[in-house]
Order: sequence, then structure tokens, then C-alpha cells
Amino acid sequence: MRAEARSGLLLSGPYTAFLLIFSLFPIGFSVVLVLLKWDLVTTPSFVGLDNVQHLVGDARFWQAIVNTFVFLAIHLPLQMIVALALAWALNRPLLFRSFWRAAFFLPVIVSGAAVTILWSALYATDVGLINGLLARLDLGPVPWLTDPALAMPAIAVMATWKNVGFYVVIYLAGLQSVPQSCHEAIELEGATAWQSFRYVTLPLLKPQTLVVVTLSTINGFQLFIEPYVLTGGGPLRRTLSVVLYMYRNAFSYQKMGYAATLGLALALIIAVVLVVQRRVIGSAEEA
Amino acid sequence: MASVSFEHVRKDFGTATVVHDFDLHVANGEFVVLVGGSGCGKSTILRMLAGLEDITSGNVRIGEREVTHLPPRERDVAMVFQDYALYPHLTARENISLGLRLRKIPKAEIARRVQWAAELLELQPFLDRKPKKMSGGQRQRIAMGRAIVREPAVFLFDEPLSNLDAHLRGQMRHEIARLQRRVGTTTLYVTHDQVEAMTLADRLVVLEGGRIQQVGRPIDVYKAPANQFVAGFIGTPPMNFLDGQLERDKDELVFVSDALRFPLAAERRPHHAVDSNERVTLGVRPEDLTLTDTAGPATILGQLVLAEVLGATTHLHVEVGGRRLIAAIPSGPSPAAGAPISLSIDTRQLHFFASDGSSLLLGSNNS
Amino acid sequence: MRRAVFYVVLALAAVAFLYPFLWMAATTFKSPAEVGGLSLIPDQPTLDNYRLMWARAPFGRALLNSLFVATTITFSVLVFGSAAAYALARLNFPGRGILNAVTIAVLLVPAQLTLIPTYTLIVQLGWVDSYAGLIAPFVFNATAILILRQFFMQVPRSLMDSARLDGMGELRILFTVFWPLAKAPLAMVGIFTFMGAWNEVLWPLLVVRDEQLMTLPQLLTVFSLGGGAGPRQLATKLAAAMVLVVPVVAAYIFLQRFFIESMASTGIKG
Repeated sequence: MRAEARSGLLLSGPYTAFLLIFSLFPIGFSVVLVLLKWDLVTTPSFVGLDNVQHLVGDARFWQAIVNTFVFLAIHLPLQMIVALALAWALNRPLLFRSFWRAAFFLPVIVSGAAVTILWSALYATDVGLINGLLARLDLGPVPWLTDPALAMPAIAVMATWKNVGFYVVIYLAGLQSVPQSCHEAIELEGATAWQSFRYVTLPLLKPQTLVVVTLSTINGFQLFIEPYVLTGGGPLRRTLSVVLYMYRNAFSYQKMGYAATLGLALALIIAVVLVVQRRVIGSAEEA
Repeated sequence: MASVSFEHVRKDFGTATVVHDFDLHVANGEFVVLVGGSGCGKSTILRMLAGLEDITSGNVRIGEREVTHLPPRERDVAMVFQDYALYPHLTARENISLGLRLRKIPKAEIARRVQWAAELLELQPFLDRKPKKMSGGQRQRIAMGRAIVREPAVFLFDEPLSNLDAHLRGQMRHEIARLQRRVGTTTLYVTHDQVEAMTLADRLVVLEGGRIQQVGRPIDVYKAPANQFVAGFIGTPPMNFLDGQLERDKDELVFVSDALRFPLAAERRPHHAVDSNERVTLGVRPEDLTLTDTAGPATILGQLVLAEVLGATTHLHVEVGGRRLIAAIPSGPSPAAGAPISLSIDTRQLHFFASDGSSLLLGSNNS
Repeated sequence: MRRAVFYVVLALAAVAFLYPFLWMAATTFKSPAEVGGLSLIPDQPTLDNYRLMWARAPFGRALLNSLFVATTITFSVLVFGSAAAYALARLNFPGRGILNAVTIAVLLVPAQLTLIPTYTLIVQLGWVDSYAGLIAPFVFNATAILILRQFFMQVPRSLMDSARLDGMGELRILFTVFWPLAKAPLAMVGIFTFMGAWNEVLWPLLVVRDEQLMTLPQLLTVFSLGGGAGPRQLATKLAAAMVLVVPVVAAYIFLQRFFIESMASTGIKG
């Protein structure tokens, strides 16, 4: 079918070209960049594995990795619990269900930049809303973004607020796919509401839990605008994220080779973390 | 094991009353079948006993305990659902034993009971499979296994065979009957299939519109239906009905319709004094119609529309004055479609129903 | 009784998500003395914050930039993307299998890996500080193509065959036969593509330095970073954020079902 083949190539041609230029080339070129030192203006110079060596010994990089794990340690459990609780609530017989759902989902669609600005106002030490509410309760102003120990947790809470609505929708779909008769059966068998949840609902939600954990983890490793706007990576570099560090290397320090090295390292770390998570949560096909 | 009592149980959904004043006592170890068309309230009654639906008014007892307001988990009943309700993420063995594990029964005892259920229901070959790798019949048996290991006071079955193919249904019917005889637990079984009802029940409860139409042993309900609904519902093929009236002709009571006029047999007539020209519906079962060559008073003339040969029996569909009658006769040389047919009515096996549907034979010596 | 408690708790949760937006909106109308207060109605409402914000940075221009960029990207993804999806779903051509496989594989690669190399490419092409630089890397979207391909595969072959017999070319078939059937997936893809492009901020921060070309979230970020954290600054920053938030929220109020279904479907795919 010459004509069909011709049409097919014609219609998919632009897409193929796009993939080559903007997907495949960058992937390949990133490996090349790792071996170069380049400021985009002068000619690049070949430096072998210098970038990799530097990365291994770079305190800032490892701090950023630690920061990300701190973020995930707070964000992941918070996300799962809140999303599941809200989804469970929305699954009951309920009035105005679409209103509640829309309320929780609103932060998801608002721009991350706007949400970050909003929370800079919420977290502001002297004129922020949160400290204002605490002042009503006679509690002292808390330096949310300037205390090294609090800054990343504060960002984790904000990220949860922004994204939880999305996971509520996912968990809700999962809850609705558990047959009502399974709940009735286990209730007759003597299970309390908690036991019914733990032995029937939760295991059957494994695919959704995997999605929540995977996407939240990727989200955590991709943090950029939040530290960029709220803290600049401080205080004491405790909110520095890998992507922010990468951006600085490219945009401010003009070290393309090193920035690409950071990108590659990040991609590898994400891959490893996701594989480990999938093992721990178990295969999603169990349900 | 325990008895079950429903006293004046009523269920409303909003303004609609779905179950009216339901009274029933089920004896210890009895197998009672609730049968009726869809929407008659049978599943609702079962679920009220299980605690899965609230009871609007009235009470329910299991044994000596009043359970009307108890949550399902405290009622000590086990239920086999229409869709089996197996836990998809657990193996058959885990499905069966989950309830026991929740109640913290010792492991050795759990193993013993699972083994016992497995032998009783022949579950061994697939005990370690998950539900999606099992056939419908196997899932059904696992669901039953789950119910029996709990050794509950009452078994409840909610149309358990509806999702199986016809052949399997027959097989599983026997399994269920055999099981119940072995284990001896009080059982309430809901179905719309009157064959299941007739073959399984110690006693039948026929329901329609949320009300009991009749309660009794299958053979009694078959032979002496209390009203036209029960008469038409129980029995396959269904009873034939002819409208007409009763007239007094000197000493005799005569049934008159557009196609017939014949005197009623002495042993089979309404028990009360009948007004002349009282409107009445005649009921005659297909097996009480026979092919005949001779014309007589209790003979119907019609035209054969269809002859269904089922094997030893043939069902003749006969058109008589705009209505369709079915006769069940032993198979043999049968007339061709369109041929004229004479059917003789066995007047000793007739049923009469008043205009409100109630049987006119009850309370008499007819049986 | 328990139901009442349940609703109260649910309402509190909803308030936690909605109240900050209301507070933000209220604060933008407050004078410096009132900023930071908890009330939702300012005693002395003022538009000064908005005037200040508008004067100090080209937000109007940025709004237009964002609209242009997001619309162009969405148009491209929908039109050219569905052409590619159509070819992948329905036409037999050499390399189809590979193209499918690569599309799926590309989704597994984190964006961080390709970010810097793509940036160097744009620089080499001379597309820094240009609309081309903002738009080019997003002209196609693998997720969108997969979703559309999936949908197109379910359109009965007979519709295609009869259209061909009527003498229609492939493009005609795509836009006159398939598109009307694909309103739902097209709307979904359209929404999440537009929202993604509208909210994108890292890429513009890399590729654009000229204030006149900045997108709205980018300008908002730059604006809020240049300045202290005194009371007037806060209200002005929030006023700038409002420009970004209000159009989206307005669209959301009317179309929330579409938004939710659209974004949720990508989650499950991705």
C-alpha cells in the first residue's frame, strides 16, 4: 500500500523529526556534555570524567540529595494519609460531592509559581497568615522559612497542600472499584470498620498507592520553583534542590558540562529510588 | 444453629413500602426458600436478617437473641452472595480463613476447619489460587466454604446460582442440598427460580409485592396454591387460566366460558356456597390436559401452534379462542402445526380462583 | 449526629484549601497597615497594590505572552499531534512500530535529563529570548499522542474505509471523521496541555531574559524575587499572583469536571 505508507510517513514525519531533535538528541548529547567543560560562548573543552569526579565530592550536591529525602520523608506519608482520608470521606454517601472534590482539587491546577508566592505570604514571619493565626492563640511567631530545620518541612507541607487533590481523585477511583459486596462479606465475617479497611480496602488500593508514591517522588526530585522563590536554597542550603542547583550551574555559573552531569545523576537516582519503591510496595498486578 | 423469627417486619425506602408486615418462623435446621419475581422484596428480607439493611419496624430474632438493632458482625450469620464477593487479592484458602483469623481463632483450629470445608466441597485442587483464576462454579464453592467454616447460626444464600450456566446450576443445586443436610444449619435461601425453590426447600415462602402469598411445603404449595399468583408462579410449564363463571344447573355446579360448559366434579368444587353467575378463573395444569379423540363437555377444541418435544414429554401450545394453552403430554406421534386439537380436562385436578385471585378451594376437603 | 460532625470536619478541610485563596485576594486590596490581618474584608480597600504592580513590571505584556505561547503549543499538540496519532493508530507505514516504542520510552525519561542539552541546543540555534525558544520543545507531547492514538484505535475501521471509498484523503478523514468523534479526548488533552504550558516556569527562566518576552509565571517569579518582604511588597506580589490565578480559577469554576478528568487521566498514564 504505497499510498498509505506515504501518507503515514507524511503525517508522522514532523513528530519523528521532533523526537529526534528534542528527545533523542538531548538524551544522547547529555552524555556527551558530561565529558565537556563549556560556557556556551567559547569552544567547549574535553575534560574526561572531571565533572563526574567533582560531582562525587560536591558537598552541595549531596546536601541537595539529603534535602530531597527529608522532603520525601515528610511529603510522602502526609500525602498518602491525607489523600486516602479525603478520598474515603468522599466515597461515603454525601451531599455536594462535586463541590468538595473541586475544593480539594483547586490548588492542583493553580500555577506552582502562584502557589509558592501565596505560601511565601502564609509563611512570612511577621505578616504571614499562619503566624497571624498562631498569634490569636498567643503562640509565638515561628520562623518557618528562616529556620534551617523547619524550612524543608514547611515546603513539604506546602507541596502536600498543592497536590493532594490530585491523589484524592486517584484514590477515589480506586475506592469505587472495590465491590460493595466485598465490604458486606467481611462485615458479616466479624470485621470492624478498621479491619475491613486494612484487610480488604488497603490491599486493593495498591495500584493507586503505587501511583501516588511514584508521582510524588518524581515531584519531590523535581522541586525547583518552591526553593527558588521561598528560600533561594537556604537557609544554610537546607532547601537546595538538585534542579535548582542544576539551574544555577547552567544559568548563573555557565557550567553546561557540570549541569548536564547533575541532570544525568539525578535521572539515575530517580530510577533507582522508583525501582526500590516498586519492590517495597509490591507488584501492582496483585489486586 | 438456631431458629429465626421475623415479627411484623416492615421496610420502607423513602415513601415506598417494599416489605409489608412480614411474619415468619424458621425452625432450627430448616431450609426455607424465599421465592418470587424481581422486586418482590425477597433479597431485602434476607439482607434485613443479615443486618445489611435497616428494619423500618418490627423485630428479628435469631434463636433467643433479638438482633433487630445489632450490626452485621454480631449476628453470627454467614452469607453467600450472588457475585460471590470473594476478596480478589487473596487465595481461596485465605478467603475462607480470613473471617476466622479476624476472630483470633487459633491457627490449628483454622487449619482443621479449612480442611473440613475443603473435603466437603472438594476444594483441594484450587485452594491456593486467586479468584480470577477460578471458574464460576469454583468461586461459588469457595464462597460456600467461607460461609461454613464460620459455623454460624444461620446460612443465607442470595441468588447464589444466578450467574452460573444451566448445567452448572443443576450440579450446584445438588451440592447445596447435600451440604445443608450434612451440616444441618438453619438456612434461608433467596431465588427467583422456582425449580431451585421446589427442589431445595423444606418450606417455601412465595412473595410478591412485598407480601407473603403462601408458605408451605413445596408439594403442598404445588397442589394447593393459595391464590392465582402462586398457582401461576410455581410449576413449569405454568398453569393455564380460563376466565368464566359458575352457574347452578339444578343440583350441579357448572363452569361456563365462551369455549366450555361442563359440570364440576363432586370432589373438586369451591367450598363455600357459590352465587350463581359468580365470576371465576379456572386453573388447569398442563399435565392435567390430555389429547383426546372424543368430544365431551370438559373438552377444549383448539388449533396446534407449536409442539415442543423435550424428550419423554412434549409441550403442545394450543390456541383456543384467542388464548394460548399449554398441555404436557407423553411424547408420541404428534399432530402437525395448524391441526385441530382436542384437549380433555381432568376435572378432578382443577383449581378455582375468585376475582380477587384467592383460591376458592381452600378450607375444603379437596387435596 | 455523627453525620453532622462528619460534615463539619469535611468543611474544615475544604476551608483549609479555599481560605488561603480568599485571604490572598483580600490582602491584595488592603493598605499597608492592614496587610497580614486575618479579615477577609478590608476596612480601607485600595487598588494601590494593583496599580503599583502594573506599573513596575509589564504584566499585561506577560499575560499576552503566556496566552500566545500556551495557545500555540496547545494548537500544535492537538492538530499535529493528532495527525501523528492518527498515523500511528490507523496507517501502516515503515517504522511505525519503532515510533510507537520510542514514544512510550520517552515518557520514562525524566525531564531533568534533557533539560540542559535542550537548552544548549536552543542557544546554538539562536532562539534565546524568542518565542521560538519558548514554544519549540513543547510542540509535540508524547502523552497526548498516546492518549489520542488509544482513542483513534477504537474508531471502527469501517468508517475509515467508507470515507476512503468516498475519495477522501487521510487529512480529510482525520479532521472530518475522527475529530468530531474525539471531542472528549481532545478536550482532555487540550486542557492539560494548555495548563501545563500556562504554568511552565523553569523553561522560560532558562531561555528568556528580556522582560518583554517573559511569560506570566516567569515575570511573577522575577518580580517577587526582586525586593524585600515589607508589607507593601507582600500585597503587591500577591496582586501579581492574582493576575495568574484568577483566569484559571474562573475557567475552573465553570469547567471543573473537565479539568479534573483531564488531569487525573494523565496521572494514571504517567
